[in-house]
Amino acid sequence: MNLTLFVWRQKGPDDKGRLEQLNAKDISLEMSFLEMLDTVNEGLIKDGKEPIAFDHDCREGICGMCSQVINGVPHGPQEKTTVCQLHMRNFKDGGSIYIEPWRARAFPVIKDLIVDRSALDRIIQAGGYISVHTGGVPEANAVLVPKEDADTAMDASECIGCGACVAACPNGSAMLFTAAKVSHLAMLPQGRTEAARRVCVMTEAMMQQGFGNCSNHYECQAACPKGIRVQFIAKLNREFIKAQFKGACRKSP
Amino acid sequence: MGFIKNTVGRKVVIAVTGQLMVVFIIFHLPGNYFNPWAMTFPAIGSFIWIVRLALLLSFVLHAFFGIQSELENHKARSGPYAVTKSLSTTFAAKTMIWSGILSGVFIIFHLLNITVSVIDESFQDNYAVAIGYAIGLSAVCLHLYHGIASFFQTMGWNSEKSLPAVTSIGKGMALLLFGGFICIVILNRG
Repeated sequence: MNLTLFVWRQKGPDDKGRLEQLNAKDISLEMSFLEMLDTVNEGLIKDGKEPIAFDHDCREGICGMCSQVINGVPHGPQEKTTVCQLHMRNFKDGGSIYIEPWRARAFPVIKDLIVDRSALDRIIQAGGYISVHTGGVPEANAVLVPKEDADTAMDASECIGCGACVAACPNGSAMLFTAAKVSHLAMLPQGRTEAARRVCVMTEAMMQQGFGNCSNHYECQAACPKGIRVQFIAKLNREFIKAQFKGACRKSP
Repeated sequence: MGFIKNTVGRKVVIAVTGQLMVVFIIFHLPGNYFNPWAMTFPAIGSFIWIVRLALLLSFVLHAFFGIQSELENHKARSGPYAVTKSLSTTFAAKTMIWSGILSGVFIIFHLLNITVSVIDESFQDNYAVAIGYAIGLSAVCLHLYHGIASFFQTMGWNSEKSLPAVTSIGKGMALLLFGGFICIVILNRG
């Protein structure tokens, strides 16, 4: 198949950037989206042009590096799929594809389609961990965790921190990401100890990093490649309100 | 003061103050149809002033934090995408700031018109005023179309299973309120 690509080209963080029209020729339906870009890049290199810079690592849908908005949708048209797992059979021969990087003030563009997502790491650094010493592997029946809670924690922990929620959010908010991390730890006994402090410092860190406020558009849920649900945001809100009764948000971190 | 500086804290303030105004609107609707019942309100004396003060405070806080959040959200974006495609958001959700501002203007007009009687034109006699009321009501109900359901999400008063139902009920309530109020304007046009 042959395609017309409109790819965001930006030399560096200070460059203004623009969409560049490129042709992708003889693309196989079985190629992944990133393999298609590899093929286009080979052509560009042969012609002595600068290849498209894009982020990738595992290419098996779990690292969350491929920060591309394809035709207006983070990670492209297929639901619950990262760009590397998106295949060219999802596109029409002869069609046009717009490829842009995540756009949010907290995610500055490094080059072309590569953005700096370390703002998400700084939210985790603020409180997305447990600091209690849990010791070695405990006896399996010592601390009982209901099956449902374990499942919910597991669902929340599926978040790969790719930032698609931020890219999709009309407010540039990282609430789904923060909520997944808060919920994941709050569901389990080891994480409960610091649950009140955690929800306060992580939401504060989210604001400090320049992310916007959640106003319940639910675009994040629709774009999430791992199916993280907005119910986790409701859970974060419950945790936040509960934390008020403990005065956890008044203390500075 | 950590609460109102936090993004979730402010969202809770916006949700609670908004919902207080919704509760008032719900009582306001039958109040219009059963005027004698509504007329017993002033007889309650100081109670009405407590309600008025609570509503005024709600209005001010709701508008202040709503506008503040919107300005921050605008800053959090780094420019538009060349192609945008909405997957789940609604027209109502995307236009909250505009329907909110329009609602605020409408409420002030309505108070000056009916409560304080400074503006001496009624929608019963003046076509332009009736159209103004219709536009104002549309803005309020568009705002509530997203707002009522949003309240439950913000308070965390839903569950894994109930979220879609709660959202539908919220949207349904906004439409019912719109129907109820717009009938008053249409039926009373002389």
